[in-house]
Parts: sequence; C-alpha cells; structure tokens
Amino acid sequence: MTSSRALGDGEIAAALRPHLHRRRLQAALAGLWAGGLIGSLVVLGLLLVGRLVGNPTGFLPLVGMALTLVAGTVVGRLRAPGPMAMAGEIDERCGLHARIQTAYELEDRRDPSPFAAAQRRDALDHLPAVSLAARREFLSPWRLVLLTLALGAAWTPALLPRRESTETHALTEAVRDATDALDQMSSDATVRDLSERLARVRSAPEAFAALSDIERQLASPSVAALDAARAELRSLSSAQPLSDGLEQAASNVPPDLAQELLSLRARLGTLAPPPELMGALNEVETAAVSPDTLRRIAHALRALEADSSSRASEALAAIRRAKAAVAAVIDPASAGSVARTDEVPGQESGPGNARGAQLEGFSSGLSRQDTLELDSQLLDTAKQQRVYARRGGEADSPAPAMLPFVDVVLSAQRQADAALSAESIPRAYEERVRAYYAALARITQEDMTR
Amino acid sequence: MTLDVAAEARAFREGVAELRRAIEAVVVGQTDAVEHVVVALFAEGHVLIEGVPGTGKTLLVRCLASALGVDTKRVQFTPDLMPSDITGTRILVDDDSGGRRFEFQPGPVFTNILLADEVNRATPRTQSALLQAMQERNVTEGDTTRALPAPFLVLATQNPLEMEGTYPLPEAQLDRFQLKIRVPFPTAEVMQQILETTTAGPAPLPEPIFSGDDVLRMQSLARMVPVASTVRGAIVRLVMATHPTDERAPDSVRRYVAFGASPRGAQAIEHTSKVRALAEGRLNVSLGDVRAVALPALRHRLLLSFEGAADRVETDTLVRDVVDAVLDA
Repeated sequence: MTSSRALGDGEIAAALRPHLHRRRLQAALAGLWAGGLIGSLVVLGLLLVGRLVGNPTGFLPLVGMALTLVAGTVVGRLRAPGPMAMAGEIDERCGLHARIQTAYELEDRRDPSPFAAAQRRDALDHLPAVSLAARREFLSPWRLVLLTLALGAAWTPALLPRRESTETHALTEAVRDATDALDQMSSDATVRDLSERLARVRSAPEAFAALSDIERQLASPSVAALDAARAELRSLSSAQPLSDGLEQAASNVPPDLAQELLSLRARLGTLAPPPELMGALNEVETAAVSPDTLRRIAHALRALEADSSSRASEALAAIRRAKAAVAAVIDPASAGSVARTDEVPGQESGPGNARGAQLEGFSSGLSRQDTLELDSQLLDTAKQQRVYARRGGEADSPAPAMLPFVDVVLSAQRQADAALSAESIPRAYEERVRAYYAALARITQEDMTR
Repeated sequence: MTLDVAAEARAFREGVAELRRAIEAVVVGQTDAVEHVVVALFAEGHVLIEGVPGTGKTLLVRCLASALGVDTKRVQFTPDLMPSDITGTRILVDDDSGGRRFEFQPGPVFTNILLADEVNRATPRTQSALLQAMQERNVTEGDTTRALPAPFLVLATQNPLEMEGTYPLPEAQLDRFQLKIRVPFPTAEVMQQILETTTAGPAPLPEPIFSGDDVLRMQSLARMVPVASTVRGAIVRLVMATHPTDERAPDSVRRYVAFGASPRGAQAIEHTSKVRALAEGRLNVSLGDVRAVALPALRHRLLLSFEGAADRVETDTLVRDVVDAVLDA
C-alpha cells in the first residue's frame, strides 16, 4: 500500500509540478492548435478579400495569423488547471480515487497526523511519473498535419493574382501600348506630352480620363479636317477646277485659316516632308499657287498623309484598346467590349461629346480620302464661315438659336440614350449619365410647374 | 506508541475481507447486504435490514455476531413488548444484610450486538426505547444513566409485506439507522445454493475472527481516514439535493419528496465511505465510495410527499436520481 520512506514538506506539490508544467504546455499547445486553425480561417478570409476587393496591406494575413497564434497560446495557457484541479485530473485520468487531491489538501493544511503522512506516501507511490515519452503524447503528429493542411489551404488564395496586380498589369500594359503607339505616330511635342502624361498615370480612372483626352485630341483635328473636306467636296462644282478653288481660298484667307495652314506645315515638317512640299506650302502661304504646284502638293501630301494617317489610325486604335482595357479594370462587366465613349461627365478634363462612330468612320476613311484633305485645306473659307456661324446658333444663321430648354434637354437625352445603348460603356458611367439627365428632367419639370 | 498506519490499514482490509468471506460462506447470495452490514459495523452505525421472510436477515445478523465473538442479544419485537423489556428495569432483591433494595436488571440492549427482529411489530413507545441507546449509546433509567458496552450495534429487521398490525418506524427512529439494507429475494441459482447448504443440517456459524477490542480499534482507524474537500463537497451536495427546495434536486425529488435527508445522512455517507475506502485498500475517500454507500445511507431518510406516497414511489429511485444528478453532473 505504501512505502516506508520519509516524506518531506511540499513533496506532493513537487511531484505535481512536472504534471503541471506538462499540462500547461499541453494547454498552450492546444491553444496554439486552436489559434492556428482560427488563424487559418482569418488568413483565408483576408486573402480572399484581398483578391476580390483589393488589400492595401499585404502583411495583414501574416499579422492576423501571428496574433491568433499568440492569442490562442495565451488563452490556452491561462485555461490550464491549478494544482488542485491538476490533482483531480490525475486522479480521474489514472483512476486514483481522489488519492492525489486528498494528499495535496493534507499537505496544504500541514496535517501532522500519522494517517495523513501515510496517505500522502500512498498518493506519492501511486502518482505516475512524467517521462519524456509521455511528453510526446501531446506533440501529436495528426495535429501537426492538420495544422499544416489548414495553413496550406488558408494560403491557397495567395496563388491567385491580386486584384491590384491584375489591375496594375492591365493598366500598365494598356498604357504601354498606348504610349508606344503615340511614340510611333509622331515625335511632335504635343504627342510627346500626351505620351508623358499617359506614362504618369497611377490609377485606372486617371488612365481612362487621359486616354479619352488623347483620343479626342488625336481625333478632333483629323475629324474636323475630314468633315471640312467632305463639306467642301460637296460644295464644289465638279466642273470647277481646283485652281479656282485655290485661288478663291488664297484670295480670302482668314487669319484663322492662315494660322491653321502654318500649323499644318509645322506638323508636316515633323514628318520630314520632301523639300518640294515645303516649297509648295510656302507658295500656298504667299498665294503664288499654280495648278502644277497644287498637283505636286496633292501628290506629296497623298503619300505623306497616307503614312501619317495610317499611324494616327493605329495610334487611335491603340488608344481605344487601352481604354477598353482600362474600362475593364474599372468595371469588369465591360471586359471584352470596346469602350469608345470619349468622355464621362465628371471623369475627364475636356468637355463631353460622344463621337465614337464618327471616329471609326474617320479612321477607316482617311486612307481613301486623302486628296479630300487637301481640298478641305484649300477650300477652308466656307468652312470657317460655317464654323463661325455655328457659334451663335444654327448653321448659316447669324442669329443665336432660341430653342425651348425642354426640347434641347430631351434631344440631348435621346442622343445620350442612343449612345449608351449603342456603345459599350462602363456601367458606373452609364448610371451617372442617366442620373445626370434624370436630374435635368426633374429640374425641367419643376420649372414647367412654376 | 507510533501508529503504523500502513500496517493497520492492511490489517483492516484483510480483516474485513476475511469477515465478509466468513459471512458469505453461510449467507449465500447476499453480497451487497453483507458488505453494507460489515461497513456499518466498523462505521459505528446501526443497520435496518428489510426483506421478505426467509431471505436470511436473521442469519446474517447471527453470522456477524458469531464472527465477531462479542456479546449478542436478540429481541423479538411484538406488540406487547414493553420498553423496559429492552432497556431493563429495577427489581427488588435481598441484600447480604437481610434487607431489600432495588437493583437494576439490565435489558437486552446492554450488549454488543442487538438483534431487533421485526422491529416494526412493537409499538412506537417500545421502539422509542431504542432512541437514546442508538444515538448516545447509553440508557437512562430513573436518574441514572448507564453506558452501553462498546462496541454497540443495533441490527433491526423488518418485513415490508405484512403491514397488518405493525407500527412503521417514526422518522426520528429511522434517522438513527446509519444504513437501511434491502435483502433481495434470491435468484434461482442462489436458492439452489441455499438448499445445498441448509438442508443437510444446521448451517455452521463462522468462528470468531475479531474481538471487541479489535472492532473498536478498527472503528477508530476508520474515523481517521481523510476526506478531500471535493469529495466532502459532493457528499454535502448529495444530501442537499434530496430536499425538494434545493436547486440541484432532480425533478422527481421536487415532485415526490416532502423532506430530504438530515445531516445524519451526510454523516452516515462520509463515515461509511471511510470504512469502504479502507476496506478497498485506500487511505482516502473517493467519489466511488460515496456512490456505493449513498443508496443504503439515504433511502430511509426521504419523507415522501402525499403524491409520492399515492404513486407508491420507491425512495431507491429517488436516491438514484439524486446520485445521478449530483455525482454525474
């Protein structure tokens, strides 16, 4: 029943100490396991959120995992039993029938009776020793495997591309294509500025606004020239020789047209025109133009403009592709479509004006309409007059237009609706346009009520 | 003289085992009853043995008395039994000087083991004659209080079937019995053994194993067994849960019990648990000991409510419910 060896003070507590350490370690490890599993869920959630909506701090999952591990360990350690509870646990686990609890209490109250001493000796004899092999129990391999699997599963979303990196990659790629196209198109200072502006963009909306501005700047002069060429072509009589048109133009060149001709020459100069072309242009400026000169100019410009328009067309196409890519970044629902809305209210620096269809017609028609470009340059007087007339109201009418506001709003809304339904536009921008016109309609209704 | 606890405890365990073997050699198939009687003996408690006729109640008591080698008296309780028939009375005797004087003639209670056979057949007045003897272990006669010999153990039997002409023991009397043991009806196999051992001739009673001093020393040793606070707390919770007003009381207790066990119930559980622990070779009480003695220590201490009596609820069932609710919680 008992051994005969002497029993010292605190011997039960000393014998319990290894069990307590072991139990505390076990509790801390249990807390660590629990913390690891909870941390895996936290990491999984953070990584998924990071992949879906963007994660500004990439180290957050690591911090979350570390915190849950530490918290689990601390909580587990705090939940470890005290000496009395430990004695109860040993009694329960080893079937000692409250021997250890009784002995601990007798020692705690320093019971000097022979029976108490005998009982403590009996408890010590029954108290199992804690060996190294016993320590291995709670380093259970299956827990390690489970935790490893959980951690591995939690970090799986890390293999997916980040939303930011996806956006950045798409943005960078689109911007690079656009700037390359711009660089290949021309080394003109304006084009270079546009290219540099593109290179400086840092966000998708910024890139979209810049590309829209660039598209407009690239397209506007060419479209204007094309519009003018078409108008002049229609206005010219087929029997009227070009020289007459030229003379007519030369005799009545307004200052704006002269400035535009100078700009044309400077622009063509950046494209390294042949000397005869520069000479011909000089003759145009001085109004010393002959039909032969005009033919030479036409011939040279045909080749030159074919080349430049081709490059401009490519640049426009690249810009639109870039816009589509950026639009997809902003609104994944529009991915795969071609965003051709030049401007979105509130998002861009220039005035709003949807003209995608015109641009497309322009890009496809430039190559075969090159001679009309020349005609439009030569016969720009009438066009200038029309442009001036438009500033105040309808064409060919010097008086300002006096249309009812409601009609103007409804007309503009119909046009906007048509453009929204015909074009692929980011949904957020569509809603903003509709909200804009809805607000206008509400204001109009209130005005009519008043 | 230094107490060699280990040796004493070993001797206790061996002695109890030997005593049980000796009794069980004669009383066949009543292992639990024998165990509880032996436990009550060393726990200084009195035992109420209940069973149908012929199940060996009286034989069990006779075997115990024979194995102990102590003075034993038997009182057959009948309705006309008077208190003085138990405690003793003064009689007029001639002295040596030729005069006469009253001299106390001790009753059968002045013994080490008193067998009160069919105790519920005596009137309450006579039953009450045992109250002081059982609790204080002395008898007051006139103005003189006389101590009973030690050890003193009352082993009472009663028949649960024949209630005609009986007087159920009052609660105060019942509470003084440390354990109430139910002797079950034997099984077919046990009955065969009974026939084999009893029909060939009178069953030989066991030879004395202990003396009265041995019993006293073992009782003293059993009192020293320590009880952990957790175990003692369980005993207290157990007894408290027999009261319908206690929050731990099971629903059956709330419904069928009018009043639960008294503090004597807790004392009985702890004391008998100590003896059982020593008999099991342990120097401390465990919850297993408490569980083992809870039923015989509490079953006669629950006062059933009207609903409980009307539904003929067994107190054993209620005690088991309490044990399950408290010790298994």
